[in-house]
Amino acid sequence: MPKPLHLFDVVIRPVVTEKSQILQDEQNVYVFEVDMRANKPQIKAAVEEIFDVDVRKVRTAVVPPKRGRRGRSEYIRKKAWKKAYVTVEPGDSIDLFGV
Amino acid sequence: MLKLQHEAMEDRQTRLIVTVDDARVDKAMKDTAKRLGKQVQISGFRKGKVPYRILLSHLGEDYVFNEALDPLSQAVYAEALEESDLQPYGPGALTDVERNPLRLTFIVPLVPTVELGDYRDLRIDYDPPEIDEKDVADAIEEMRKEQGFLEPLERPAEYGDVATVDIHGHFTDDEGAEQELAHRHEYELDLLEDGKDPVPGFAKHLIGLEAEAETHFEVEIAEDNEEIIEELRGKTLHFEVKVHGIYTRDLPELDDEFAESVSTAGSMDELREQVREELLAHAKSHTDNDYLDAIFGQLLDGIATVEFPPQMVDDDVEDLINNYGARLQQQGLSLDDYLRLNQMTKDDLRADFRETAVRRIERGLLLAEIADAELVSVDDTDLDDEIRTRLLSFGEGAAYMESVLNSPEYRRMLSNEIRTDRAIERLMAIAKGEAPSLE
Repeated sequence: MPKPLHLFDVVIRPVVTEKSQILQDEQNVYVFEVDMRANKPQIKAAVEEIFDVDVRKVRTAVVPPKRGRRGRSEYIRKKAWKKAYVTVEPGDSIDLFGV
Repeated sequence: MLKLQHEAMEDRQTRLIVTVDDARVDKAMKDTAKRLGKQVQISGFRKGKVPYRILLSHLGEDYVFNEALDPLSQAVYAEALEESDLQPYGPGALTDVERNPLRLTFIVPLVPTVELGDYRDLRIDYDPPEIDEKDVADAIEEMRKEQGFLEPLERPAEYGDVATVDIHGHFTDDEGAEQELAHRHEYELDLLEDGKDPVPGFAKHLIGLEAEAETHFEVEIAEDNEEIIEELRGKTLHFEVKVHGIYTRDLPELDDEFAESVSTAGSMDELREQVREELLAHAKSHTDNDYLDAIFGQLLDGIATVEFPPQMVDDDVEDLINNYGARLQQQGLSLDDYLRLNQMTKDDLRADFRETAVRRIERGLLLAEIADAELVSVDDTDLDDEIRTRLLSFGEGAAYMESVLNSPEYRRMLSNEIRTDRAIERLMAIAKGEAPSLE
């Protein structure tokens, strides 16, 4: 039986890219990398708890691993990870550590 | 809109404090960030697409601010000068920056001011130099000596002969230490009864000696002998002398032939006249220089006031150093090498030149102002005349030099030179009380 996921282990880091910035600015959507095992309700609870905002909606996506090949053997260059798009209620905002 | 505040300082400088509003600062920072964003690679973003806030946190706000400050302060400075009615001599220096709100403090050097005062009342006695017959005769005798050659003698030395000697001199100074005095090798010594070379009473010890003789003797210097440097007065000097040879100076006759051989003069009378003129011109330039020094000394001591910013001195010092460096370069020595040889730093050199620079500036400003006040003018005919005179000295290269000398820059320079020269003449005339009034 795996250890249950703690609230503060759910959100791993904010994703800071051009695209995430645009989502933030235009749609009040914040993007995070989250634990693979976390589900939407857990993510919603975690973000609400950590950043003290109301979350309207969470969408998730599993980013496929980046694979590499050396001859016949295949390996994983970068593991798969789960990305969460968190829509925040209008009026609320998250200050991503000044990022 | 800029908020300005200025305080006058000493030495023609002013402190200009400009308050810049926040919106402008913000804009400058954003512009700068945009520029910087094109150069830095931040993962997750393409170059130049990084939002302002990400850049700020990445580069640090202070960094962006400092980068923005340079162009901002320049723009602000230019506007501030425009708005204030200051006349700057040169670029101002940003000395202090305060933030929130942004307050920039500039030190602005102002154009120099010259207050001539009652310079027309200045009177200084002028002693015109005089050349008497003896000076002329001495100079000609000197020429005669140069023309003559030495004839070896087989007899003991007499007064009037020339001896080639090695001289070693030493004496005991006030602290009792042995001091080296003179050390000469194969020196041509005129044996004159009242000769003062190297010290009075030296020659008589050599009378009667033959070639290859060696001797040593003492010469006592009187306590009150003013011809001798002070530390030797009242001392006993020891000399060891070796005589190499005794000669007589075979001097040419002072006749017209001699006159022709040493100069362009055709006869002795002409030569005397030429020599007199040369001596007079030399003495006059010397006297005039001293006279001018005196004039400027008095002018600056209470009559006229000249104020100029220290930057002007700094600039002039740099000029002087560059000129000096160029002169050294002509002798095949770089300025750096020269400094190393003399164990100086550039700052030492600057300190040395400082006084010259200050004097040059004071005089230059005064003369320019006097030229204006005295309505000194230089027209094209003056310039053409001067250029023609100068061309004469070039001989074959004159055709080429003519185009150089006639260039607008050279003409302007020359016109300034003539103007200054005339102002100097005028100033000297004023001090002598010979200047006609302007009306």
